[in-house]
Order: sequence, then structure tokens, then C-alpha cells
Amino acid sequence: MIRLQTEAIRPDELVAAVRGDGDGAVALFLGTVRDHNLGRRVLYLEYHAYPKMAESEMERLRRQTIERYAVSEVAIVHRTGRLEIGDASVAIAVAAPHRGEAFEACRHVIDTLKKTVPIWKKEFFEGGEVWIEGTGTTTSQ
Amino acid sequence: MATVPGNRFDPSEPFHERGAAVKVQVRYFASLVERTGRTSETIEIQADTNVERLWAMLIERHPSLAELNFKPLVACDLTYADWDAALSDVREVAFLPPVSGG
Repeated sequence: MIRLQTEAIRPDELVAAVRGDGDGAVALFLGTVRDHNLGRRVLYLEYHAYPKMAESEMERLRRQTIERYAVSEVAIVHRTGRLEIGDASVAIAVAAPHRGEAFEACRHVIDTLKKTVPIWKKEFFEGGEVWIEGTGTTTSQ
Repeated sequence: MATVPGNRFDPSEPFHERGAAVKVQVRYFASLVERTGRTSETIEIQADTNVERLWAMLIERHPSLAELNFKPLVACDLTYADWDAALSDVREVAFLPPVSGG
């Protein structure tokens, strides 16, 4: 399951999509919107994607992870649009026969996604808004 | 046969010696949308133009692109590409600020 969506993420959908009878573990990661960043009080975030490429990069990452780790299946769902504090922006589920590989592969997926999948967040905070671009920020207004 | 203005495939017209003119769709994301005032535009280039030369043309159109404090990533037809990549068979070139999903 590889998907970009504006609707709320339902983690149970990802778990159901990856789990098989040969698996003894499903690692589930949720990235959530927090209320502060770099000393600013965050009001909400907007996620923007390059949709077709984001999905193809997520699919590439899914396949690469299954090749590289002893895991059975990987699901990645990322939200776009306006997200409120506490909303899940991304969910990753990894099923594997054993928990060690599931945790490790899940970590690999989120770390790589943050570097390669073309999605950007715009942060709306008290007093302004900024595009978050890599680890730096570009003030837009 | 009458020449159709702007028809780049008109066989009666000789190709430019640097290669035929082709059109690429350029796409911008995140802060680049605000710098250029658009999400995409069609640019006519010579077929032997590479990404670096296209970017120089875009800076002429949108001077604030020269003020970026990062070097954008480049994708040609939905795949990451190098700055010296040729554009002869490319339809869509995207300039991507460092990503921040997750």
C-alpha cells in the first residue's frame, strides 16, 4: 500500500495491508504534527507534494526496503493538505517474521522518506509562516 | 505549402544548428512557487540544452531564483537527475527545494 491522501490516516488499514501469516511482528510508525518547532508555537501545517513523483519514490523505497531487509511487506501512507496539531502526517507499517528486522526496516523507511520523497511542509506559527526546506527554513511572508 | 507560424515540426524550415527547439514543462514547488509566481510554465529550449542551462534561462525570467540559499534538486520526468542531464527527450523538469515530508 503506497498512497498520498488528504483524508485522515487509519493505521489499522496499513497493518491489515502488510500482515501475513508468516509474520511475527508488525512495526508501525506514525509521524504526528507537534505544537512547537525551533522555539515557535506552531498553529498548523500544510503539506504539499509532487504527487506522481512522491508516489513513485515511495514505491521505490518500499521495494528497496523489501530487498534489503528480511521483511515481508511495507506500507507507506502520507497525507497532504492542512493538518492540525496531533494529526498523523505519515504512517509506515512493516511486517516481518521477527521484530528486529521490522523495527530496523521501519526506521530506514522514515529516515529515507524524509530525504528523498518530494513532499514539503509549510509551517503556520504565531506571527507568520515558513516553508520548511530540508533542515533550514525559508521565510515566505 | 503555407508555413504555419510557430509550427516547429514544419519540414520546410531548417533545424537550428544547435538542435531543434523542443518544449519542456517546468514545475516549481514550495518556496520556488512563491519566487516565480507560478507552479509550472512551458519553456522552449534547444534540444541540446542541459538542466544547468535551463536553470540559467529561468533565472533570467525570475531573478529571485538566483537568491536561493540552497541548490534545488532536479527531477526529469519524475526521476531525480543531475544538473548536467540532457533534456532532449525530457517532457517535464521539476526543481525541488530540499524535501521536508514526514
